Amino acid sequence: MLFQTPQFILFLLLVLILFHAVPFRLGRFVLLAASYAFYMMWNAKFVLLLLLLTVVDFCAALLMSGSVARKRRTWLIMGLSANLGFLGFFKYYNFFAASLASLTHVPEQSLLLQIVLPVGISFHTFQSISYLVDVYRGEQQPVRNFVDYALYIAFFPQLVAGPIVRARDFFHDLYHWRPPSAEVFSSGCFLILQGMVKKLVLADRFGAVAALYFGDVTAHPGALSAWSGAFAFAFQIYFDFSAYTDIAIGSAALFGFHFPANFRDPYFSTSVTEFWRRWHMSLSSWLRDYLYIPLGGNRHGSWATYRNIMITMLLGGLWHGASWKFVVWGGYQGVLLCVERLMAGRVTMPAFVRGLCTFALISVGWVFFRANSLHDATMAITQMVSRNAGAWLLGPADLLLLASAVLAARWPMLERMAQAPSWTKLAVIVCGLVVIELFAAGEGTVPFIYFQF
Amino acid sequence: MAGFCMLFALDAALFRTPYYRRILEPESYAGQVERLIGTGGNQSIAVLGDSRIAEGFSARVADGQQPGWRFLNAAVPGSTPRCWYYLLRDLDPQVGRFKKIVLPVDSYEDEDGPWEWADRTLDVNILAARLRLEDTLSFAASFHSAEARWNALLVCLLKGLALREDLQAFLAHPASRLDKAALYRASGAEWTYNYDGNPKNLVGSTLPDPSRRQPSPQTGLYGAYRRAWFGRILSRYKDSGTAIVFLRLPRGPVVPPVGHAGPGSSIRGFTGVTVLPESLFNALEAPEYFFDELHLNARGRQLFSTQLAGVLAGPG
Repeated sequence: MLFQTPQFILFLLLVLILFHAVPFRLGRFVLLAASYAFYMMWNAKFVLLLLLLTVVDFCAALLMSGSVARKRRTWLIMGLSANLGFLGFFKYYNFFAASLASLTHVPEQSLLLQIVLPVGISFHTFQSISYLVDVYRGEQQPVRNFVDYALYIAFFPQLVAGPIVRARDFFHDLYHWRPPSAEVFSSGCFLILQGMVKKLVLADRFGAVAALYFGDVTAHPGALSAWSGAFAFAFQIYFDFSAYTDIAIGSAALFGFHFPANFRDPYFSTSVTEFWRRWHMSLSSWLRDYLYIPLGGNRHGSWATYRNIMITMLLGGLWHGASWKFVVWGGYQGVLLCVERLMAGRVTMPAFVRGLCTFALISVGWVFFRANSLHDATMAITQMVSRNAGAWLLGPADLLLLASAVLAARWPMLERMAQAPSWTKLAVIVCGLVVIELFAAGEGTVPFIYFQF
Repeated sequence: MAGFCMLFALDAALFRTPYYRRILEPESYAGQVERLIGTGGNQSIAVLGDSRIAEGFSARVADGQQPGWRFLNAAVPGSTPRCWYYLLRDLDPQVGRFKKIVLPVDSYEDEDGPWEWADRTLDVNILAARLRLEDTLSFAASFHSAEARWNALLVCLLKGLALREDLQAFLAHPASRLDKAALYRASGAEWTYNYDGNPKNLVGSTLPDPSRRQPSPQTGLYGAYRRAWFGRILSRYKDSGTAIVFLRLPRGPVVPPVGHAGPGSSIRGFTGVTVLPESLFNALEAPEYFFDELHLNARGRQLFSTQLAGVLAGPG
């Protein structure tokens, strides 16, 4: 069930009514049942895997809390192994098997398995890991109620594609739950509407242009085609993922839960470092807290810092997908971050120029992310610097919609919509609905990009 | 809720009033429906159909052949019996404009094809501008799959969902659309009337052998669909003095050999209708009369129109 479909809205309404109709102690059961039902609509079998991992992590955390240091470590390693083992098998087995086959010249088919990737596994695994590590570090009390823990892992607004919610934030909301105020409720509804507009009107529109270019990079030769294809994907992935996040945060708010922000106008960043502080913030901060800092962060000199950045970004790239193109994308981001760190203070440029350069560099990176293969990505990058101009693929309507979206996002009233007068709220809602009705792109339902991760 | 009500009101103001219908892209499905409904005249025989009638039947030739009668080519490419019911409702609101209404079919047998007719989503696009609020439930229920029903229901409530591509194209080039719409309003009916047909033919072309087509499983759904929609047309014209005539279209440049017994014919089961002989146009089923596998060419059009006019102008 995709977030942008009427089915999801009906599902959300039904769960909301049920949740608010019963006392909160029963409401959490309603949410858990709804979350498992939501997951089972994707693939009923994998709910067992979700349940198994939930039981393993729940028990590992409980066992850690009553153990001495060595035992704690053992339970942590066992918990992490279970999570990473399942993630590794489902997501990376075929990738490593294919790579091994190509290295050893063994027929690929003899090593590959027919594996279906359980939806959301990358996200709930990271949530589980952060919980286990936090309990191990003593930063989080182990949860003693299984339903509460299961709800943390499976809560349907964030189950499939995040944002990655930290246990302490989720359980704070759960154990200090208050019914959402009218203002919070209203903000949640606006976020859902905003997400729908971003996805249906903007992301899918830019997605069509990106698909046109990346579907066959040889069909649209020339620098302008390559750049416009890359820009189209840059806008698609931002609007797509931030739309998902808006709907997730908005939906959670309707139940009285507060999810962390995931984006803060990332394309207005004036450096790649800043970009990563404003893009997929829940993943960036997770990687920082559970990978970069444990590796040593920037505490052991320059070379160790660069090494840690590269490891973090390479693994971050690999987390996105089991393919060398994602590894290259991660490596490329790592190199940009290292070069930027190396050049810090040596080059001065106006903020506007820095912003444009950052956007261009990030867009080049997206080519690896979107291209169908590493070979296609290389071809697209080559075209970006070719002398042949080619055709600009983004139309005036695309750019007009983009400009409208930027202006709307900059409208201060949008931030404070919950406090706005009723007529303003009504006008914004009607505008949003009319825009979705009349300007949604194409036909059919296009899945969110991050659902595949 | 207030937001949805206002959305509905805005959608209705834009798409349920005649203004936007006048400037629909004239060559779009919905635009062709509007052009057809806007065609005036005192025609006494309407020939409905899809692109095969649009290409294959000339009202001008038929008029010239039978001076006592005036023909209307009421074909809309891609349309189906479901569309024809709603087209006739607006084309002939008083029931009695036509002496005869001709409904062409591929075959009198209710043989299921490779697709499910009841779930044909193109019908929604064809009828988008013409569906009324009171059609919402019955139109949506006429589809089979839940997805198609939901889609139809939404379009009945919010026409903009089906007409948004048209609106976006209009907003991209408003002046040229207005000019084109005005031009088609002024001359479109005349162009259609005077269209001579496609001059190409298939003589010497390699044509696929129709006997190699894989038979589809016979579910009876097509028969049920035809009974439902032809039945609704027939009950609309019951006791009206308008005769309903079924004809079997020329099947193509190469015809399959006579095969197994068909699943039966709902059309032959209707009472009070005229079913023209199945073999009436068999002589036209040759490569020289077609420009592709489905459509008659200019020569075929001339012959088909002449022959059909002769048959229709006769008694009965």
